[in-house]
Amino acid sequence: MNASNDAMIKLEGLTKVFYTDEVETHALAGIHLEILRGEYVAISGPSGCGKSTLLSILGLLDSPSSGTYVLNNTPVQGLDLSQRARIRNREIGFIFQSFNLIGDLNVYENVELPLTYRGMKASERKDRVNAALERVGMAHRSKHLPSQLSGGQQQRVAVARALVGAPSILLADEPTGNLDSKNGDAVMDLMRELHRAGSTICMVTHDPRFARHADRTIHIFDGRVVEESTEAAAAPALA
Amino acid sequence: METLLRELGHAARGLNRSRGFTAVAVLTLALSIGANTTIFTWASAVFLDPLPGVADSGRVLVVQQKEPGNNEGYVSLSYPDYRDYRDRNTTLSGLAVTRNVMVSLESDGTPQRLYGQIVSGNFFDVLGVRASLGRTFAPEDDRAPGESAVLVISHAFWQRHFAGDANVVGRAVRLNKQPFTIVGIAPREFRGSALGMRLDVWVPVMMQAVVEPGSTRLEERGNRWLEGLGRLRPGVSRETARAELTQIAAQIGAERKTEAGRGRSVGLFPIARSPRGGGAVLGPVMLVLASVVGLVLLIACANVANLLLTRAVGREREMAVRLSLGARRRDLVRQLLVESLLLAALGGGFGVLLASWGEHALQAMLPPTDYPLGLAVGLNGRALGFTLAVTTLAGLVFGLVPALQATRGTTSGALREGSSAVAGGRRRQRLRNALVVTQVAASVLLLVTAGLFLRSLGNVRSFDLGLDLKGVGLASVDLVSSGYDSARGTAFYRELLERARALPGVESVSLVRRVPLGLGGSSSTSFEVEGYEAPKDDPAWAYVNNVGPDFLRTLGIRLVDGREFGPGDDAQHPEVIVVNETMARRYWQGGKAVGGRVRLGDDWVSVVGIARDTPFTSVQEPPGPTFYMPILQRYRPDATVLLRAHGDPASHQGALVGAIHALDPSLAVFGLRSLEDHVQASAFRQRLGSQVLGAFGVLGLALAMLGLYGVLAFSVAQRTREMGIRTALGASVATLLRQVLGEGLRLAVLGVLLGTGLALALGRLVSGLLVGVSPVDPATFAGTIGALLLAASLACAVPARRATRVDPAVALRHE
Ligand SMILES: Nc1ncnc2c1ncn2[C@@H]1O[C@H](COP(=O)(O)OP(=O)(O)O)[C@@H](O)[C@H]1O
Ligand SMILES: [Mg+2]
Repeated sequence: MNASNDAMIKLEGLTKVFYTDEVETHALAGIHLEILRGEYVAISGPSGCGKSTLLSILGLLDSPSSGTYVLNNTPVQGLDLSQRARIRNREIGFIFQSFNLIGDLNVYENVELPLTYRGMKASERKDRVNAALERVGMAHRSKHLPSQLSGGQQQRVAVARALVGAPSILLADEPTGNLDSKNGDAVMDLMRELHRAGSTICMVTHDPRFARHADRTIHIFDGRVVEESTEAAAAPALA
Repeated sequence: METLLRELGHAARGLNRSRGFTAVAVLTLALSIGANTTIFTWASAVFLDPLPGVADSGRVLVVQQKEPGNNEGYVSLSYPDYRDYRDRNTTLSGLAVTRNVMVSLESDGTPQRLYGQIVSGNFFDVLGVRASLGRTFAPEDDRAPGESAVLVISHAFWQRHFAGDANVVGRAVRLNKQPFTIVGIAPREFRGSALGMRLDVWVPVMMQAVVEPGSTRLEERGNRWLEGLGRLRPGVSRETARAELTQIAAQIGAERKTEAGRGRSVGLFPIARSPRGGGAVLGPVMLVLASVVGLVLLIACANVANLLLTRAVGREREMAVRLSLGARRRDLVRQLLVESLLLAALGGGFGVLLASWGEHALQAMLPPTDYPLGLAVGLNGRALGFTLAVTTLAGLVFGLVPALQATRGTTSGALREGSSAVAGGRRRQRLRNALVVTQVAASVLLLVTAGLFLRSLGNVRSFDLGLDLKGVGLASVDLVSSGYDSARGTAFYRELLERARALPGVESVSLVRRVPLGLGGSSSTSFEVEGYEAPKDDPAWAYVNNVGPDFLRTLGIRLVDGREFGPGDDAQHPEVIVVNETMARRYWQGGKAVGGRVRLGDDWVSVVGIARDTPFTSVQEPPGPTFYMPILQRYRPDATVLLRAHGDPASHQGALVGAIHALDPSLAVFGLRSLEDHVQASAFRQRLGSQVLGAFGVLGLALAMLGLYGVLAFSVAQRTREMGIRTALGASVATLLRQVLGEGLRLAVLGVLLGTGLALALGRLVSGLLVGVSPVDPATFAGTIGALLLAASLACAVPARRATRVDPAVALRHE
């Protein structure tokens, strides 16, 4: 276990209610959760239990209805729009089930995108993008458009984009959901490597095989954490 | 046929389903097609049907002569010239002459002031016009001066004044106080042969001396006062006829052994293109207007094409399904084209309604003058045919590209596009972007031109004309139709000047034959200048005007040297003239003009003063050489009184009319106006240009901005997911705003660059209509571009804000 002891993420009593057509959906109903630096946390649970909602809030794409969220010792409630954008850009890397690459940008430009929002120098961006592509094994495809790649390749590009900015945490929402098992395995191996190299990862998955890679799995049901398990059994396999 | 009906039904249902789209598209098309139909009816009244009621008017030509070296260009014919041309030519089936006159007609006590024409006896025959009642003129009416005291009146005047009474034929009336008999009523449509005027009465040319007492120009070969109208013989070309008439001109010259005929050429012009007719005034404006509405239509088509492209994206799956069911691509294209033609037809229909409403707008924009101006504008079959053609063309233009685009995809392509793994699809946006750039470019062109006209209009008002416009009132009298001879007329002028000068508040009073910058035309003459050796084929010439004492002072024209006319410059004293600076410079070349002499006809007259240059014919042209003659010395019966007084000229009108009527209660006074209004009227083409172009420019701008907004809004809507991704990756609100705004403004800037280039290139086409502003005027360009970019920013701001409002958590949900 390479997690150090300080909590990077601390959630207390987090709730999220959606109002649509006079129907209230309690997507999250009081989540308490801590994620430590360097930890690899898996979140699992049945469809519709609130996993994606939780991840959106963790990634500052959405705000909770109540409760507190402290990221790197900073409560995020008080942050304004541009501060939130800055945190998304620097502290967080997203990986989505449906890849979400921008179709008009080629592989290189997609990966470069987070860095351009930082106003980084072109030469530095180039080094970083190439390193990230190298890491996911996609450097040879940097001029391709997303539509010219297979699903597995697209997801590897998305991973490169998530880690290019050296975020504090990678948030992945069912990253293998759109992939066949072979490609899915490859992406999972990639995640594991990243974790070993020191990344903090929070990943939604309902595939127990993959959950086993994680230090800890959080089971959610109906917007509540119902169980936490440490996959000690998996640990020797990682070594 | 059955397929077509089915497809029409299908299209109608489709349009009915998306009513918002249909409404915007039909409105856009209706406005632009309506504008095109309107301008078509205007232009066709000038170019295609310049003389309503005239049979085959395309073969009727205006005949004019050109003297060698006369800068003024073409001049009219004298009656003896006319006789020679008429009798010797073989290429014309008939040659008539006309002269526009103002007359006073008395049928039951009250005299009516009418505009009409003195015409040769064959006038109606040459034009192929038959009386609707009674008869027109016959060769007998052409035989001897003074014998045929008959007249034909217009259908309109007959209705207006005689309430259509059939017994009017044969009725005795008095024309300019002389007994005449009405012998016929012209057909309803016929308005005479002066393009742009509605004339009411026609008199045989043999009655000239009766109509214009005191002048007997019928037999003077040097007096060119008639306009020729010839009809080409079948099978004869204009060029052949022109060559023959030029040859006749040479014969005349040779027979008479004078300088005059040598080197003279004859010009034959279609009615609308006669250099001195209404077509010369209206033609260039019509050309500009036609281009303008063409541009508006282009913008509208681009807009509708864009809407259709947008719609096509939503129907890709439908198309894919149809293709997979075995439809051929051309079946789909045809179906989409039926839909766009149906749209166009709806637009065209409403457009015609709008045009029937715009029909009268032209009349409202013609200048407020005394002349019976009016074009035979009407929504006739030809206009409807034009509209149908434009509508069909528009439907094909805006429908074809989207139809091809919509049916290009394959089944699997549509599926791939529909998948959500890849956000975007901006490459498909290129065509839409190109259309928007075109629209913006066209509206830059429109607005720049409108701006140039607007500045011209402003310049006419503030231009240094060399005149002091403020405080001068005008009133015209016509002594001809009241039967004055030159002795009585001169006495009348003298007394009127004295009385008017004594009116309260009056600073000075004068008379002028041709008020500068009027639409009434100009006169010019050639002469000899003492001590000036004129080149052989370039005799000295100048514009002439007859003016009263104190003319320069009353109009505020600076006297550069010598003196101006006083009350003593009359028939009992030596003849004198005042020349303008240009004339002094040209013919005395640095020497002293004052004291110089000029030979007019047989008399030598002395130059007594030099006046500052002022434009005479039009503000656009640099002043030509001009000289003034004292009206008390050389009588003219058609004068305008100029009254400079304190305060508003309108407040002195009553007193001035009173002074005139105190001398002769029966005298018609007309054309009461201020000098400022008069000069403004002369700028009517600029006003027409700036109003119509301004309106269409704003319409074009609105359409272009709608297009820009639509394209950007669509692009943002298409890319909701992309915006979500960007937000997730840390793009700030400002970054997204900048991105979308930048995207829109890039299109606007491209359009502006293109439009500016076009405007710079095409500017010279309107330069003839501009006053005191260059067609590449930087201020106008800068202003237009600034306004356009501002409008574009507003059009982009809404979609840009929408982009920043994308909720990433929602946009990125995996469905
Ligand atoms: N934007 C939203 N508006 C309304 N309801 C939502 C919204 N997002 C999620 N929900 C609802 O919240 C619940 C949790 O959704 P989600 O977090 O996507 O579940 P999971 O990712 O675990 O499948 C579901 O019932 C879903 O329908
Ligand atoms: Mg989910």
